[in-house]
Amino acid sequence: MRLFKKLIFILPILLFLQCRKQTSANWDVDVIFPVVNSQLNIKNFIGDSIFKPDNNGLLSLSLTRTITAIKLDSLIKLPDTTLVNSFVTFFPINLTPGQSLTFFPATDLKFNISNGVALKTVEIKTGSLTVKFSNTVSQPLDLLYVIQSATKNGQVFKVFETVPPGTNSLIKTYSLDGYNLNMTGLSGNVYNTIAQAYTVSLNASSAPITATLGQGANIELSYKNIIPQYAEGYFGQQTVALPLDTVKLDIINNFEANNFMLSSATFNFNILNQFGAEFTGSLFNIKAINGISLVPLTTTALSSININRASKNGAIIYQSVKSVSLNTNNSNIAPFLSVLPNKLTYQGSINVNPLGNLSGFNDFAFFNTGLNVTADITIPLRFNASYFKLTSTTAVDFTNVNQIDRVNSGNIILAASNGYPFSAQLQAYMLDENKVIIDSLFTTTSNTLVKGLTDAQNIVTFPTRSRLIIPITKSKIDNLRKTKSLKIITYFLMPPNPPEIKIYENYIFDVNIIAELNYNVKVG
Amino acid sequence: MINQRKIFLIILVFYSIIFSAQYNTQFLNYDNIRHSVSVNLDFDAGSNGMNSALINKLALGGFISNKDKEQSAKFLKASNNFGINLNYDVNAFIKGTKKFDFLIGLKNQEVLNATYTRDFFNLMFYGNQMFKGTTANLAYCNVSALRFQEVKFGAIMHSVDSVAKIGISLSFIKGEQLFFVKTNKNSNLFTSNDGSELILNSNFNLALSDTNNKNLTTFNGVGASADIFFETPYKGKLGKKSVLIVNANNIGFIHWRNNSVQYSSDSTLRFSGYSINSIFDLKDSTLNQINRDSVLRDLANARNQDFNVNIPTNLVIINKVYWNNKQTFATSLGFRYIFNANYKPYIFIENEYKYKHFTFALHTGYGGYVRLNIGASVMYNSKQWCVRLGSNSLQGYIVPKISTGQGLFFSLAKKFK
Repeated sequence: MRLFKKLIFILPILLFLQCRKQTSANWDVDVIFPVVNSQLNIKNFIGDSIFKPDNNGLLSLSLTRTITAIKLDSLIKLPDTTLVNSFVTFFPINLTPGQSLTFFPATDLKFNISNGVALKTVEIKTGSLTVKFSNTVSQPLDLLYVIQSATKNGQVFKVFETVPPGTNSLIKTYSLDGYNLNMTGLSGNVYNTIAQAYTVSLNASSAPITATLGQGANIELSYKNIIPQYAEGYFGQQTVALPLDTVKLDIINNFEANNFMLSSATFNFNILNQFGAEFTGSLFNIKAINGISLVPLTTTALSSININRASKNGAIIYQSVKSVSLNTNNSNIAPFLSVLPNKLTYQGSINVNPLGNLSGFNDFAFFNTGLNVTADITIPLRFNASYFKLTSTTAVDFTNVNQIDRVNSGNIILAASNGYPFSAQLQAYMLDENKVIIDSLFTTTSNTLVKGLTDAQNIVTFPTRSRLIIPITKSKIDNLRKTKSLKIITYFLMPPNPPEIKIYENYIFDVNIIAELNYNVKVG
Repeated sequence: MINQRKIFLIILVFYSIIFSAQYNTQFLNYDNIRHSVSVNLDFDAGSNGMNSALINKLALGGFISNKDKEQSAKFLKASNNFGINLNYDVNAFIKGTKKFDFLIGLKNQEVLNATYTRDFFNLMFYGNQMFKGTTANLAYCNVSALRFQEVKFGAIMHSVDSVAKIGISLSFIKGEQLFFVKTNKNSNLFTSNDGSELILNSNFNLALSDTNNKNLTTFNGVGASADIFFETPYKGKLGKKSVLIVNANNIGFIHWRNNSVQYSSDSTLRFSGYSINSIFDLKDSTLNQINRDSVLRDLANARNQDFNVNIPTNLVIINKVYWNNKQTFATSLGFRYIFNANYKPYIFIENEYKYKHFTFALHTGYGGYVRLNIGASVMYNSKQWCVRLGSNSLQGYIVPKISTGQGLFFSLAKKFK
């Protein structure tokens, strides 16, 4: 008991001592440390473009863009086809269970395919057959519908249904996916035609009946949404129009140029034909667009293009390739690309089998293959310009960078050796969540990386080192906390009235970012 | 300022007559409080290279201004020591048999000590800008910070040979926090002129307790310790009576559990910044690379593992001489050393004078974390209560800017029969 009393005395004091306020000391230190050390070249500024040097080290921008693609369904469409068949008696007849109503021989069903297309084989990727059954006798009838031309894994397509009495008393849809259609009909000498057969009989469980004149079964067959996996035959002589369209080119994203003119460029149109058919085609009304700038392409090289057929071995396709090269000799490609188009408009037409059925009904096409038009663009980085403006917005979130809270003041120093023949003027704007500018990083008096020293040919002989100071104040830190994205605008300022600017592989920005901060250290 | 210091020294010498200091052990106070429950606080802080004003800020918190740093830096030598000990506890001496009394107690101990070079101090308090183009010498520095709690059980045999006392206690220790770093011969940091490069010769060892759990309830380590006390009177040539006291406490260790981290490095690390692919790519992810844990893990061979650390062991030897038969005047000559704590041997003399229920004491010592220590205390000791308040290092309170140490001890005991 005495011990208990002592403990009563002890515990409150212990609690008091343990709940004492945690102490912390803090002081300011002047620290300097490197943050970034990198060598950046033109590739680091311009997205994912591919740069290739020539033998002299002059860089070329190389990129490939898809202009258009014509797929199988542009050439061949199996139309939705519906037919109605009646299986009725022409005189009164007594029917016993299992007895056929009458005998109906196999018949052809022809699909009406336009443009002179004559198919002998179609492999169905997807498609369906919907059947509406009507039964005008008083007992159920059994229907067997067989498409002899449709096989899958060696089995012909069959429908067997018991149809109750009544109009449209049974409606069912069957998948045709994966069926191979022989389109040469019963005779084997026609095209776009399948062979089919029906048998109608009184259901074996029914009571005997007497069918009067005109009684029996009606069947409505609808072939719908048939998409071929493979088609073979003759694709006809047809013209496929390529209506006016726009394609994204995005040669250099976020890039604006003033008085920019390339010295040369090449633009190779490649037409890859994966169809087993010949074509002729033309592309026209091609325009390069960048904002309000628009330059039409002037050339005759694209007005008549002959495209050979692809060949195949089994399911392996050997595509044919037709290239049309545009250069400064046969087009205005340099001014065309000098607009640095982010979009390109075009129009055209394709003639299928211009010389007729040269293949002897052996044209072919696979699903998802077709006629692809791509452009290989090569731009040697040799140009004249006043300046480039490069804009980039990058999301940032400094809310979790706790170190920023303890910075009192200081400078972020961007020290860079500029090995390019042009100066770079930088500014970074801090944007809040509404994309409103709340502050900027660089001061206008310290934001230019001076161009490298150049010779008479404007080739850099020695890089120039610049030191840009970004003052860090409490208000700037507060604004950084609120910043959700940084919009960085860089002007690459060309020398006045320069000779041609050339960008070589060995040009670099050697960048150091150094933090020189008064920082509050807190311990405890 | 000089006059102020002289007056202070004269007063201290004049009153240097009594002893009642505390040295992180309860056995030393047994004679005064006997069967009792007491609460005790013991704080001392000092440095031979740092003034008390700066230590106050480090220990008690607050902003350390550049002026504070400049005044303290006057004490800097090539190599310096620093230490803070803060202990508070609740103890009870419980009546046992005719020869034994029992001790039970709860105690919190916080220990922070260091050895550091002048460059280490400057780097820590001024940053590395002052070292642009030069190398900061960081060799043979260490910092140890330790916080733990203990439950103590012990006994004191108070009538050995009718007059001597032997005390012993064992403690179960809960380790809360540990930070230990020790640099070796070639440790230094070079800062290039333009700040674009740091070169760290990182010859160091570092140990941290679980960094995710840093509060009182966390059990980052377990350990045990023992305290041993011996006191015997003897007849010496001086005075009417002499007493020899030997006390060693905190003889033990803490086993830090396997969430603890050890780092070691013996290599030259060159850092010139992170590499980016674009100046537009300076996202928060880049900035987040620059955080303490990741940098440390990059620099050193980090590994999570358990390990043992000896706690600072405190040894006190006192020879006390009573000058008169009433035992109202006494002088103690003492020696103190704290092992594993960057502590220099400390020699002290204490004089005490007893008047009715009051005992007054003055303390003068040399060594430890400080060079010269001057302290005073007063004790009220009745049949019911014993209260003591004092300091072994008063100079830090009176002239904190020109002195290098301070301390405080307080004890309140309720006595029982």
